[in-house]
Amino acid sequence: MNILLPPGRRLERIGIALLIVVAVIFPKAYGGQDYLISQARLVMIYGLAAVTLNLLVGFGGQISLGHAGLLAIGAYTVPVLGNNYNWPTWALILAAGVTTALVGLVLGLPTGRLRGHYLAITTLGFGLAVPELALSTRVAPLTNGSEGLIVPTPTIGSFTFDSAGHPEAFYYLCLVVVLLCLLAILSLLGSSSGRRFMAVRDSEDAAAAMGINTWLTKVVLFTTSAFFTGIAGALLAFQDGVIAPTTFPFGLSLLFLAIVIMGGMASVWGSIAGALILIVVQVEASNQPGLSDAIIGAVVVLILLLAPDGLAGLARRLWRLAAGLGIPWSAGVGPRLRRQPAAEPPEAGERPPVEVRHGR
Amino acid sequence: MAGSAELALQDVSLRFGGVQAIRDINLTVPPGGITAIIGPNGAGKTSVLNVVSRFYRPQEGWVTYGNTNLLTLRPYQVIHHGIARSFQNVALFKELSVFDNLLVGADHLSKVTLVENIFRLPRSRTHERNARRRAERVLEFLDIGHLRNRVAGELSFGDQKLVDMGRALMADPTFLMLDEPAAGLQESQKVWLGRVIPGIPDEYGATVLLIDHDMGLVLGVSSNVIVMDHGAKIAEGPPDEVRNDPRVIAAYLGQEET
Amino acid sequence: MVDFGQYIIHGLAFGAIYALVALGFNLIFKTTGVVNFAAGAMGTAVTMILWSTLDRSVPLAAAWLIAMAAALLIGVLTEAIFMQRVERSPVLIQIVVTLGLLLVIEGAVNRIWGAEPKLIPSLASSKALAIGSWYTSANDIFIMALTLSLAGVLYLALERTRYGLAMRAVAQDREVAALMGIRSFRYVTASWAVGVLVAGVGAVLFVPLYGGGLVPTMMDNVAVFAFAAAVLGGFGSLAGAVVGGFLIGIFSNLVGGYLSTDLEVSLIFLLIVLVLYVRPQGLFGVDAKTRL
Repeated sequence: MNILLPPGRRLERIGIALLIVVAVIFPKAYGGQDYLISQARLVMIYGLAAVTLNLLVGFGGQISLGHAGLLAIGAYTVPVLGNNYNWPTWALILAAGVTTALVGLVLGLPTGRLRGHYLAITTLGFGLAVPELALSTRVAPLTNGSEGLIVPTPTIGSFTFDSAGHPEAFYYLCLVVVLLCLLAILSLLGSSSGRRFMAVRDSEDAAAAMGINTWLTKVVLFTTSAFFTGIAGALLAFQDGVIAPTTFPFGLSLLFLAIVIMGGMASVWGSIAGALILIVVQVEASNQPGLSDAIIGAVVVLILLLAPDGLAGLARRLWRLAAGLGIPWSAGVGPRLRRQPAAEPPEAGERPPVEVRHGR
Repeated sequence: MAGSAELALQDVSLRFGGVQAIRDINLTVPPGGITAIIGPNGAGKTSVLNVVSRFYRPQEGWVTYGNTNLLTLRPYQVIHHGIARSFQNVALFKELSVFDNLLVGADHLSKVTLVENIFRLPRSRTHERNARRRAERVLEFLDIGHLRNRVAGELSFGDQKLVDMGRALMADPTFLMLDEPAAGLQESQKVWLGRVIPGIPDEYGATVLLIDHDMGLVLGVSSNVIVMDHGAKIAEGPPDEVRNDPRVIAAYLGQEET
Repeated sequence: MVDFGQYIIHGLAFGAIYALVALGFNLIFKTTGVVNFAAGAMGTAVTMILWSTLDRSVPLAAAWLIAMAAALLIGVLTEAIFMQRVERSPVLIQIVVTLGLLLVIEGAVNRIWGAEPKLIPSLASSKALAIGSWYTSANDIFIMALTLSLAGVLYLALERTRYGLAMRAVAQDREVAALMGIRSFRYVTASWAVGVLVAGVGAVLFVPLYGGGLVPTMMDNVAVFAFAAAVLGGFGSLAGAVVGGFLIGIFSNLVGGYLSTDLEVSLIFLLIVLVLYVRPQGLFGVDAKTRL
């Protein structure tokens, strides 16, 4: 079904399809290696979080230096609700999304006035304030301060998806949730709502002239991005089993930014691929105690200097190179190639026109 | 959408700091037909458009379109009353394709919500279908179909201007304001623009208000010409009268004739 | 119960440090439009260099000179190697580059000097000094005086000298300035150098003030408060940096004293949002858009 994916973005579709195939096969290929499965789950979770950040900064043109803060809200919602009330797992995940969405909404409210560096500082402050609040003695009754909270294990009916006992089952649970979220996001991006975000990003004046309430759009953007971030946070909570303020340092917000930029702004598959790469880097770097952050920082700087439009940009350029060289199947993005001729405008009452491919 | 109405500016003045952009102007654009505003650089022509689009608030005066007091509107509400515009410096959505740029123009026509879009509920699908159909018409009308998948930011300036105009047409306007549509176009494109613009009132049912420096284009397509200089209206009338008006010639003295 | 005035007095000294680091940001921002998020870490590195020279029994004055020279060098190198490449990129990219540098520098400092707290002597006595019913110290007063003097010197240099004029021209429009015969590149580099220098001074003065010892992550919180100060005062405004710094110093101390130290960052964040909402360009900033 063509309409579910961003129309015409052949490269994007190939990338996503490949990732899905790999993701589905992975546990079968590496079954038994629990650590790897766990890291793969982390890739999916971080990938989703990166995609939601990309929605905000890449597709929406906003700035957020406090993404870890939103993740924390989603993550904390699970044990806070799950330990005190006996909610089913799916409800906990949804609640995490909703709670974080509400916070995102509040964050989006000042964007009528705040942009650029001011928005950067505000989101930075938010990202720092959340773990600080979780740690503080005033909020401790809720969050248990530095000791953190134990997260109930996810269940569906009587089946338990604990990450220790049934790692593969939990992997597939994560996969399903993440895929559903990605599907929703992609569907959104290919619709008028997605166009609205991008229009505001590209030219607020023209967007207003075209009837878009730019402030409201930004609020909706923050809320939507936060909703899915909350879901990623919930998955993270289940993944880790314990949630504490130290799970969400500033470095995590930076990691997500790095993933987004490395993968390519406004590229969904790029963010997921970026998550994969940086988690691999992080795993390797954790062999060097104290330097892991520095290595990540170095990787980020290098990539930004060499390829500021990230993996997706690189892929796009290679693709065009291939198109320029005349390789037939790469004709998706070729700049000078003529597409199908314009369809005849149908007379009123006729059958619907031929499905037209468009987009980049 | 309701039919075209009369746009009226009454006693409008606009100042920026020490600069008087519009000086106590009285302007009406009757519905139907094509009206042009001409004048030397700095005459305040684009400021008039910007006041109508509500990017600027005049210090004095009234601005009405039909029965609506435009000054009560926020910029994003103007289009709901049927007024669309193109931009002097284009203002396209540079990262989007030409087709997507056009689609945005039509997006205001429906009230599809985010949730409907995510689940592709019927209203969402209908809107997409209608918008795409409309976009095909506009592409054909402007003969830019071959550009549909190009990224807008990569087009030549002239092509971008056409897309900009197309986007405004997508909005189903009853009143279309074109800000220097010919600037940056090649000669052949200008000629062709001279044939396209007169078709707009019939094809799209919209009054056209156009600003440009290209005398040939303006005099060729307009039924009514308003001349501005230094923020005020100095002449008005059918093209032939205006072209021979001594005040107009005097205002342009020293300006290169295009 | 510590009294209100005492909180203010104590907050002023910290505020001076925030002001210094904020001055560093604003200087760099003024000419290049980039916020140097790595300023704090750079300051720490400078302080570590100072410590190393002191450790080798170099006299204090000479050690300071060496450290300041190192600061200038760091600024120049950062600009030349990293920032030049991304000067035309979107804001977010530039921000992330400086953030990446922050991690690299902190990591390098950690590797080279380790994490055990070190001591740096203060330049003036830290003994309690009574002024009326409040307590301060010669060191506190010295820090505030130094901050104000540095700010004053920078202000005079920018407003009253030819070089300052050139730098302001570059800040407004780099290309036009170049067309006017100004070697824009030099001024950009100079502002990075001085910006890091000022941040370095702030870091060195901070060590004896906060009493926790010199550690690689020492300036992390300071940097946050300094950002807050720069934002509050308005990016690109020297006066704003100073006023903002003192205000944040006082505010954070009051919050810490009356409520709880764990709420400092959260409430500062809230304060910033409120101020920006009312005045989006900060107290002294000049970025107003006259729309509608």
